[in-house]
Amino acid sequence: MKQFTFPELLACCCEPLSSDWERGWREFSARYNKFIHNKVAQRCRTWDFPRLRRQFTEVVQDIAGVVYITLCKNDCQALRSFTARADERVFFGWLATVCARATNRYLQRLLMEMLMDEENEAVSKALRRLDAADRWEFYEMVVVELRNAAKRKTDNRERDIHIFQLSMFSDFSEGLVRSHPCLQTLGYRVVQLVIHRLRKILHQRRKNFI
Amino acid sequence: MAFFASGGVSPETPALTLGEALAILAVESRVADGNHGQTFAGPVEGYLQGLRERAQTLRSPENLAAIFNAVPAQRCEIEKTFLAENENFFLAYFLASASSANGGSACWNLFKHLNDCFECFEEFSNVMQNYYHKFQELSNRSAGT
Repeated sequence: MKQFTFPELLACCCEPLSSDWERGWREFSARYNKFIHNKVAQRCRTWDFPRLRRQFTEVVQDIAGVVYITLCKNDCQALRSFTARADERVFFGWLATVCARATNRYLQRLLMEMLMDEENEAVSKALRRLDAADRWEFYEMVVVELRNAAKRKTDNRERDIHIFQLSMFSDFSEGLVRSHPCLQTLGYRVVQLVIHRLRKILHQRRKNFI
Repeated sequence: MAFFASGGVSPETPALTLGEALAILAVESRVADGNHGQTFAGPVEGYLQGLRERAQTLRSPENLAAIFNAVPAQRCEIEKTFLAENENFFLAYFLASASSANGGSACWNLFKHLNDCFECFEEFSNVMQNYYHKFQELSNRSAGT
């Protein structure tokens, strides 16, 4: 059977009611599956942390699945939004961006789980391995989640977020935190309590990022 | 941030980061005879002396208030972050009583800004870590451990 041309392929992949829809997606997968897996794996390798290393193949598979869902969901809204149908090379670039975004979101969720559950030192090590832009983006994501949580009456939210970020991103020990010029009057164990409380907040908000 | 000994000074002379320099000055101010237990070659001692003089000038309430009020309310632009090479800020926060300054708002402004601005957060963390480790080293030395 003759292969679809590139524009034909995209057209029938976006029409679930078409008789060629299933054939179109089989052909899409045959053409682009390896590319998607390679792009995802390439991106995953730039985020080097233990949990990812242990489950690398499964994570890449999962993310590739997410890429397909992204392309198909909401009546193939994403795929329909790609308009440069005359040039398959442009499509490769676009698809690579979809893969990179899906990978980043997935890995940010994995890192959030680490942040909630693992020892500070392990978290700091994993975060230090990220490239600067990824570290920055993740830092901001954590701050946003913690700021958006409900506040208590006696809330020192900005102070607490700062303590949490020092512990996670810079692996500050309790002693180091308490030598901070603005934190020298902190009571004993306050640092641990703050970290515990903010981790609990992230657990409560996990539906936002899991 | 680091001051590198140069120009005729022996290659064994260690570089002194801002954090380390602040720790030396902090220990000096706590010890009665001002002896922090280390001696430095000319240029490094010159750097420390410059910081000491600047710290004295900065201690005036007006100067401190100006520094505390200068902390940006938003994230910094990438090309020029507030804490990059901002020795006066660190002198004010580390050597003056930042925690009680401006009714506590000096610290609150700092927390807010460092939560907003990742680049300043990294800069602050680096100085803080160098400060802490040097401070511990000098404190242990003076305690004879």
